[in-house]
Amino acid sequence: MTTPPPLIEARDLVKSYGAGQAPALRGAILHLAPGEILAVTGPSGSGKSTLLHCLSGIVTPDSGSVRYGSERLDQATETRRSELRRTEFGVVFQFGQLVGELTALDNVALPLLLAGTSRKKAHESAGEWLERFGVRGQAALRPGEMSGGQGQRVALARAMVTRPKALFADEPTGALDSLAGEQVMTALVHAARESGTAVLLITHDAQVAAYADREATVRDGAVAGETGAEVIR
Amino acid sequence: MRGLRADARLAWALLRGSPGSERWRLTLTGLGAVLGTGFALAATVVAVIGTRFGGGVPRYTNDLLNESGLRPGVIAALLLLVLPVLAFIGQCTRIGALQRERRLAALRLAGATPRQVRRISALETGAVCGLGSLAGLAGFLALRAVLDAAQGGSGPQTWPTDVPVPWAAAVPVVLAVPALATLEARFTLRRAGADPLGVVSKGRRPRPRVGRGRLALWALAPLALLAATGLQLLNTSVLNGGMAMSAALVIAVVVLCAVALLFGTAGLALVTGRLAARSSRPALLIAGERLQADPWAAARSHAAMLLTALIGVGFVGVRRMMIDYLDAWPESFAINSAFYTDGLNLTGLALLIGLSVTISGLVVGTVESVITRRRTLAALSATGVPRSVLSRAVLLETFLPLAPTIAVATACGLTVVGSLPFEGTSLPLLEPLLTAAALLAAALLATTASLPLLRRTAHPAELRYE
Repeated sequence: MTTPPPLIEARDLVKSYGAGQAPALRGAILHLAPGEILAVTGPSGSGKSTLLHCLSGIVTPDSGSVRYGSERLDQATETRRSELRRTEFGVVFQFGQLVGELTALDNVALPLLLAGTSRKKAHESAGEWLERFGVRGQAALRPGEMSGGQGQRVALARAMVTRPKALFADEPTGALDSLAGEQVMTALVHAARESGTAVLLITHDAQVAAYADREATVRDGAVAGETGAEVIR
Repeated sequence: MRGLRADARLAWALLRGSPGSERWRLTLTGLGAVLGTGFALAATVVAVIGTRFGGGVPRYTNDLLNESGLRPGVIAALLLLVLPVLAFIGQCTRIGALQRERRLAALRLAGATPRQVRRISALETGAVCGLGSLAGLAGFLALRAVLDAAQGGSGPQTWPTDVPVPWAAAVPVVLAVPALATLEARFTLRRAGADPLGVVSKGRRPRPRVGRGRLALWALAPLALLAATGLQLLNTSVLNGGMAMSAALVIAVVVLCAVALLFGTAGLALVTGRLAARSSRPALLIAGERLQADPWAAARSHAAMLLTALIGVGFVGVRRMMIDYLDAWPESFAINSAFYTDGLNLTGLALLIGLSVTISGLVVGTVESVITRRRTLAALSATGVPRSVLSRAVLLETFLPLAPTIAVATACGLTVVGSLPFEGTSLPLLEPLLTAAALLAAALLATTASLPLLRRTAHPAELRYE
């Protein structure tokens, strides 16, 4: 059986946040296969989040390459990387990614509205995704009026509304209690499997990592080991 | 076009969802548009007086409106009042930076390009100013009706309410105010919201782009310009080249001085900050470090104040010299000297209105500065810095860069005034110097408006909240 080519592949990534600072990434190598759920774990300050930021095109590495299909993300323009986040990638953080001034419905519709989709169609799609994540009732609320768990489900709905090829989730349950965290993870995995979306999941939590097909451990800015041999090339 | 419409809709949605803390900023922005529209509409009405009434019959109690040669000055003064209003709107656009950065970062994370977020943000300001402009038009019409009813029908009138609003000019004015505000916001926010990771940042500010050595050199710009213009203007042969040439030269020098002052303020803030940071007094030390960390903040918040100082000192000097000249050569004028003094006093009134708008902008900027830095101030308070020291530091942050720049602005103004050919008069010093001192005092007084807020926010408990 042949292995499908990776959806995203990072090679020898090095990234520093300023002169004189220790590099956050020192030669990290990682790939994400289409449709797989990959958990990236490691201690605080090991470079997990920086790795996610490089792979999702939020930041560009100082050296090394990030390939998305045949495209070099590390060489793509800011506009192209923004376009990818709007159309083919979804991003979820621990908090703060929703626009406080917009309702849940507008927040979920945001990537579509930014892409020029008509308001009616964007709201229809947004409503469907809110329904899937069980927060349809909160459509008219703004982020400040929702619980943390509801807010994260709205954030997931927004990340999934474009049916992205890859979803990048940085500690998506980090600010939630265990029950809400479990609900969010169940919803995330279910939606990703259904849409065939690959997920790169950053987490400290072994219970969250257990939802993944594969687990990579990052230490001192490099991938130190991987488990889940059935999906490793 | 479709993209612009989508961005405009998003901007409107963002406006509608603005939290209470943002609403006061939006209200002030709208008020700025109300004022700007009012001044510009008044200018359009004065502009058409001549087309309505010819001949020598005085229709108004003030000759500034009766005399066709003086009306352009009135129009220019009214239009110039729009400048401090635009500066005020710019100040309101800048405030709420942390909240705005997070909002724009969230939009970026959802896939908006940097250009798109800046456009959305500018459209927000444009929408608020559009509403303000419409309110300004309604207010202007209402005020006209009230004044018209109050002044009756017979005899010369105080206000030109007998002139109908020239809609062909008024409509473009109502559209131009929000358009100008949108362009200004687009420029003000040219570097805002570029980083999608801003959603999780703690409000770190980027380092200034200009190197500190070069910035310190800019402090010399106004001084160098002052020396050069002084030498040039003292060469009376240039000023004797005719009225039009003299006026053009003086205007060019004032504009150059203004530009040099604006650029030099950041440099002076850095230099004074460095000197203050050497002190062992805690308030000076804190103010000095803050000025060094962000010397552009002083330039941004004091820009309109410096322009007011430059024009204000110049005007007071010119006024004194003109009055002295009128007293010295009464036989040279066919018209009563009250005609000129009335005109000068009305110009002074316009400047006072401009100054009050500028001071309001300074209050807004200072309050915003305290709000933005509340965690830093709370951290200082938590480490045992008394709030009285923090209060003094905030006052010093205004005083240290503003005192030398107002001094330079005063010198620039006096240099220009001293070059004017008013025979038999000497350069007045007392009134311009008193004006400069009053302006500095007004700026410090405006800064004290933020102190009650400082006392409330600089509390260790503030550190508990994100």
